[in-house]
Amino acid sequence: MPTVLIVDDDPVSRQFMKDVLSAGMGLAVQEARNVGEGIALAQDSAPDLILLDQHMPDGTAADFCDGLIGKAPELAAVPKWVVTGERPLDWDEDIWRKRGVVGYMMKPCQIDQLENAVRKAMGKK
Amino acid sequence: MRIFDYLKEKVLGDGVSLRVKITMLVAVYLTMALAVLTGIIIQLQQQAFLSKSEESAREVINELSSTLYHKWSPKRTTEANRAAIGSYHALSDIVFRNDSMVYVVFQDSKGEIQYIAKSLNDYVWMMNHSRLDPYALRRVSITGFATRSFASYPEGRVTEYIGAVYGKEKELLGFIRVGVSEKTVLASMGQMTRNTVIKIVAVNVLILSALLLVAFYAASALEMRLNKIHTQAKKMLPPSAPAISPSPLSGANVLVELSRELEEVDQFVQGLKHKFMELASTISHEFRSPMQAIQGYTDFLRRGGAGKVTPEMDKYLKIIGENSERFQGFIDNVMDLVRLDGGKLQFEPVSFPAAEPLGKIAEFFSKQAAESGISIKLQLSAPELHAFGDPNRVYQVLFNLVSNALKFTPVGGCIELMARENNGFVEFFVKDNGPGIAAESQARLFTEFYQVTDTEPVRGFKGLGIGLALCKKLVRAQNGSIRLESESGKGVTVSFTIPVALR
Repeated sequence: MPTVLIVDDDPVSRQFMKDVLSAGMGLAVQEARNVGEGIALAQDSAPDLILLDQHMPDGTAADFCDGLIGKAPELAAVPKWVVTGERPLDWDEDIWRKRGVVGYMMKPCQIDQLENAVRKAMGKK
Repeated sequence: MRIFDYLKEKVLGDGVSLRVKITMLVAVYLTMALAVLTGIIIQLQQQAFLSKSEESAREVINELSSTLYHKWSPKRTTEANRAAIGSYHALSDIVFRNDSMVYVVFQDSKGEIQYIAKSLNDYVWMMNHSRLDPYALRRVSITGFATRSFASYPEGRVTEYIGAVYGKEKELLGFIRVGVSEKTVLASMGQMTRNTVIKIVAVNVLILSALLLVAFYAASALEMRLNKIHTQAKKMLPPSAPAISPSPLSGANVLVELSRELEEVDQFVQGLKHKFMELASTISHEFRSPMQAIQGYTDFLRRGGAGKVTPEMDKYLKIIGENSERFQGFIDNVMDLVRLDGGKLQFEPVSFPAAEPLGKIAEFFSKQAAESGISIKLQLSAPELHAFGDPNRVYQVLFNLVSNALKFTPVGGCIELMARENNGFVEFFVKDNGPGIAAESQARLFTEFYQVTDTEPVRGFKGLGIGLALCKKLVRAQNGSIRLESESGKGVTVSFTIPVALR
């Protein structure tokens, strides 16, 4: 069963994404509350997709990507989506693509968006 | 030093009102200026007086030399010459023009004194200074007129004016020397100067008083205004802010004090602005989590994520979903307005096809419009038309306009989306055929937080104001303009412009 790692400090967002992905799509879901936890969990479980909150107490989505690549370079290619409350103005496709980020979605995220994101990521794999 | 300190306290101390200080300052400057002016006038008068005495000496020399020219001949004996001129005393009346002239001498070319008009005392003295020094002679030969001064005259300094006398055959007959007593000149001048000074001072005092009166009124007005600013500045600062100078303003450096206060106010306002931005950002952030739950789970339930949903249940879930989205839109608009006002909203202008945002909008709203029985028509006259602006912001404007239009278009109505080129701009249109907006409400529609009152014959469109205010600012930030046209019963057309991309 494909595994999705959700890294988000907001429990409501985590719960909602988990409900949609596991109950709705039948995926295995793992949750992390911050960048540190997320990197540790990613190394343990080698997820197929990572959903990343833009701002967390101990860092940003970019910090997560860079930290993960530093510790487990083999996970650099795992597809990632950034979930953000504000439109990232300095969104540079090339920089994010190098980190394995497929795209971003706006919070509050919708079921269609989540499903599409998963399909896109899984399809690429 | 004590007196100085005392005066300083009395004039510039805290107890003295600002208007008095300013007036004092003006008084000091004016007095100084008038004193300098008086000095200059006296100086000019002295010069005029001195040149007048020189002028009369010249006259004497001219008259005497004309007499000598006709009557004196070196070929005759001295006695014969003297007889030809006549008595000394008869001449002295012509010669002495005023009291300051002490002697007149004619000296022939050999240096012999031939003619004297003088007082007895001066005769002795003049004899002692009878010789012309070579320097004076040299000057005479060049200019025909020279002066020399003797400091040893019994009653003070004498200035001697010397002129050469020539005969009919251009031969040098001799020199005429006129002695002018400076003391006498200065004495008569002193009398004149005293009178002048009294007059000048009297006029000055008058002028000074008039100017000081004006200065005092001006200073009073200035004090009032400065204190007004000062009070306003104090009012703007919160009570907890560090205490600023006692009211009213009175320190020696009021302007420094005032500018410091205004700086404090500026800092305070900047701080508030910053706090406000932070607060707005926090609110918007804090809203996302509950909105995620409401919107997300409403959708989740409607899709049967927690069991079968009856049509009745779905109807209400739909209302929850739509309204939470509306609320989210409102929050987003407010946040963007706050960012715009704070200069934090960034624009990324690029050249983009005008059809692009219109197409996206039509697609986005198609489902919602269909559900409400409204059709959306997309009209693109020039598919190659490109605008220069931030396509996301243009999309945002269109989003707000179409949301509004959807709210007010009745079932079976139609919303038209258009773009065309107009005078260097791409003009976007959002046109509905709803009930329209009364003319008296139109102008105020773009005002932030404008709400239509109950008495107005318009449908209750609360929250419309903020969307339109945001649209106006977004368009203006991209060098465009926005305009609304409507007639009651004939629908609304909102159009806005974005510069055409130069290619």
